[in-house]
Amino acid sequence: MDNEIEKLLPSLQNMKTRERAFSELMRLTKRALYWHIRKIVLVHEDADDVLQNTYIKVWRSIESFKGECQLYTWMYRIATNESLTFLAQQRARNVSTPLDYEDLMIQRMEADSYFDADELQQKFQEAIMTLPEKQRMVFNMRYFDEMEYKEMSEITGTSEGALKASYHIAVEKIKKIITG
Amino acid sequence: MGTEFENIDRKLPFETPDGYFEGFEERMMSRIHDEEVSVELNHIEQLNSHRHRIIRLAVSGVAVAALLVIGIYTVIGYQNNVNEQAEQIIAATAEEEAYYDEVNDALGTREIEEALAQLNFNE
Repeated sequence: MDNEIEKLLPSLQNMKTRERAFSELMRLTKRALYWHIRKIVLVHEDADDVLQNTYIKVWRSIESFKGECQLYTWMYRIATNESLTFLAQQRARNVSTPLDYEDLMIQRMEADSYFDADELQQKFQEAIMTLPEKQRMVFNMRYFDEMEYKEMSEITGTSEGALKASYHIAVEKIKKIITG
Repeated sequence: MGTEFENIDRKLPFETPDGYFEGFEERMMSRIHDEEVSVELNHIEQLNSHRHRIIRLAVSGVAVAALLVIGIYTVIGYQNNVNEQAEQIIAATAEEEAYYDEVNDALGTREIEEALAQLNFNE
């Protein structure tokens, strides 16, 4: 799939073929980007908003994309930044609520009609929610997407060593919470 | 200890609304077009607001320049007037002084003549 995406770049940077190529780009990437975002923001409506904002940003910046990294990695990075910005804005809006932000997120996730988990999965998701945002992102990318550390490093701009350490710490924390 | 963790299904417990991904590209392209139109409108609005500001600034600039010119002319006119008056006063003073000199001269001559006449008479 990566190769197919990279092949689209000349058409994306040409005004005449841009729209068609962009539709194709969305067809190829929408699912992966959606699930990456959804794991960070948790609720479907929020993930939908963030995904749309991500594509708008990609559309506006594609002309100036210089190809320093793979197009797919660059889009992942935009999606990650958009998701983290969204969470920061949401956190700022909820400053006045008595609940901890993590509790609020868990409440919202469990109230989402598109969340369907058994008891163990729910406990697991709640444990993931206790992780700091970036660590949670690293855990999700590695655990659910089985992404290579090299690719994660390109997306997050963090060294592979630091990512490995972060993932290891996250796993230990989650294990501790689940086993009580 | 890790058994429970290892047994967890790696499938995410999240779902999407039915058909969410179908027609996503069309929906997104339509949103992008809307965004582009709104960006263009914003751009035009900004240009208009800048144009109004530029016109207002130009009018103010012309008014200030006119006031400045009027001010400079007034000051120059006032100075010329003062100079003229000073010249007139100087000229009048000079005339007066010349008259007094003449009178003094005349008086001086007469006094000498009288003194001489007095001397001649006494002799």
